[in-house]
Amino acid sequence: MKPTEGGGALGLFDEARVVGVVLKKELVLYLRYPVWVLFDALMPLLWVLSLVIYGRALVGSPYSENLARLANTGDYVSFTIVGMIVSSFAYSTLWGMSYALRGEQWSGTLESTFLAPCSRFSILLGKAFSSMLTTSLWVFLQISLVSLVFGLNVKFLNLPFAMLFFLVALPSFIGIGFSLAGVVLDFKEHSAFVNFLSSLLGLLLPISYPLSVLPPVLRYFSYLLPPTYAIEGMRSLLIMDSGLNEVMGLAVPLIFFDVFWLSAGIMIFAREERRVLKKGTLGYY
Amino acid sequence: MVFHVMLEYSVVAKRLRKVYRKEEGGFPFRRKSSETIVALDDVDLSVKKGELFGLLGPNGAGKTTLVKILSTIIIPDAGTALVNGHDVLKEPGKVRASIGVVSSGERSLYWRLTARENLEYFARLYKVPDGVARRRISELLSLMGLEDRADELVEKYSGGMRQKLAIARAILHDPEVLLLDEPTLGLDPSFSRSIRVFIREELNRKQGKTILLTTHYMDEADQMCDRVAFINKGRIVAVDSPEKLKAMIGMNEVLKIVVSNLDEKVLTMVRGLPFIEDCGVANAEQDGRTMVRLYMKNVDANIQEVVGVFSKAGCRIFSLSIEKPTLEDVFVKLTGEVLDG
Ligand SMILES: Nc1ncnc2c1ncn2[C@@H]1O[C@H](COP(=O)(O)OP(=O)(O)OP(=O)(O)O)[C@@H](O)[C@H]1O
Ligand SMILES: [Mg+2]
Repeated sequence: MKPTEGGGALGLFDEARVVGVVLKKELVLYLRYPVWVLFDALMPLLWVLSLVIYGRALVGSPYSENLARLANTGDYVSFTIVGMIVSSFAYSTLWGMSYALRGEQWSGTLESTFLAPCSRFSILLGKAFSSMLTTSLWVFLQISLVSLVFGLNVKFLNLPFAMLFFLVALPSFIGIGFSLAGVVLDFKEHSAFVNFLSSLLGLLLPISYPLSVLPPVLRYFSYLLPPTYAIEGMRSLLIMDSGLNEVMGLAVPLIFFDVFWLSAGIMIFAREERRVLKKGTLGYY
Repeated sequence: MVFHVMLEYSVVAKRLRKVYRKEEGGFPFRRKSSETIVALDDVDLSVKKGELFGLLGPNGAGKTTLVKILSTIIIPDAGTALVNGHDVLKEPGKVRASIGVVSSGERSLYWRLTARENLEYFARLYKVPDGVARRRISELLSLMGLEDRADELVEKYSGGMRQKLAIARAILHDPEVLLLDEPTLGLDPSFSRSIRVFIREELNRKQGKTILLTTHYMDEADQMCDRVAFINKGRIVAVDSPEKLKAMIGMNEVLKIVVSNLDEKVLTMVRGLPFIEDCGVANAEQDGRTMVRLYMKNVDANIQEVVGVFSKAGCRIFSLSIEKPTLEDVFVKLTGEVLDG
């Protein structure tokens, strides 16, 4: 009957179950707010549609000579869609955790959650995975719709490799997510923060244009961002039909970012948690 | 020695100190101001195993801060505490596993989940094995009289039901120590009573749990607790059983008088009466009435004279009663301040 505490394989198993139950709870709560579900479903779709239509207005056809010169494809619809999908996944891990944490501060449940004898990181991971799961649902919807309307040239045979590639990038996203969650825990501010970050990333990440069109100064910053590599890698796998060996060059920096951001994320979160425990403001809204 | 302490005491606070620094400005221009609040000023406290211990003090006394330090969600500036033999600073995980916490207010549950979903969720976080959790959850739901509404969203619950559910959540993993921060705050009297009885009879007497509860209701502490600590401005001013504390007043009767037009001059006159030991004055009500409690020997013989002083000074007397000393009287005597302000 006594709760187990830390240590050993059993401890790890219990923590995995914590991740699972947090994931489940987040999904149940999510589905109980139908308005959010509707917004979440529609928003990325509107976003991607406006980009695609804008492209058509500029180019006048579904094929862009200029894009073909810059990237290995002239099909800007597929180009943009894949960029959007990968960045949606990246965003869902990047701020899914801090968003959910902020939500618990708001609803008053953060203290009771943190009173439990389980790792904070299990709780955060549960939140990240639930937000990834809901994202997948909407992404699937987007792909289906867009490919119906515009036609999509995706090499579906490469999908498993693309997913594998995403898994290589995932730890770095999670690490950044931990850091953001830590910062938000203390600063009690989420939306302004994330609105700014997502606009910044919208500029720096190669979502709807290749990096080569960015001014060189900005491009350096792009190369510091793990999602850049994820988008480029998955895009070459999915629409340029590259093999795994061709994207290895993009995976190597990602592995470096994984190690760096995971350790930084754990350290930053732990430090920020200690800070709020000292200030006594853990559950404050 | 350490072993001995562990056996006898479930909670030991050692010279706990917590100073809050106010912050100014908004993100990202926040800075610490020089203004500080000493929430806990070298607090020593021990709660015996199996004891129901009350921490009684006015708003802002530091009760919540102390409970949060004991439950590892505030880190003290100095000192430490042992809960169930584990140091809150060195082994927070072990402390968390062995305590159940009910915090004041009722927002510690997910309102958009049902009662059962809430309990199932927290059972996992507390790593209670599934089979045990299932049995325990249905036990607790029926113990709390919530089984009929177990599958309803918590947002549909009344405040009292939520509080019961919060208690059920706190004891889900069968912890040895319970920390209850104002468990009856904001509940209507009949609900408060049933919660008190539950805490005392079921949790403390029957299940043998060690309980530290905070309150600013003196009769709550008086009725329920084996021992009470008075806390005021971050300091513990007295610790003893309610009976012994009340005996400190030194007399067994108190004259309670409600008057209007009270001022310092009248009070000085009343205090000057030879048979008056001390007096406590509550904050004035909105209609100008003030409650004064006079601690005096031989109330019967002197009541006439007291009334005389008040009426001569132009105070109108609304009510007069002779009462037994309460914990509030002791608090007033020790600190010169009123509890319920
Ligand atoms: N995080 C914080 N930052 C700054 N000041 C704080 C913080 N938490 C509490 N305080 C202050 O510390 C003092 C003690 O607060 P605490 O909440 O411990 O008192 P309390 O006895 O629980 O009061 P109440 O009966 O109102 O719940 C109060 O003056 C309060 O304003
Ligand atoms: Mg309090």
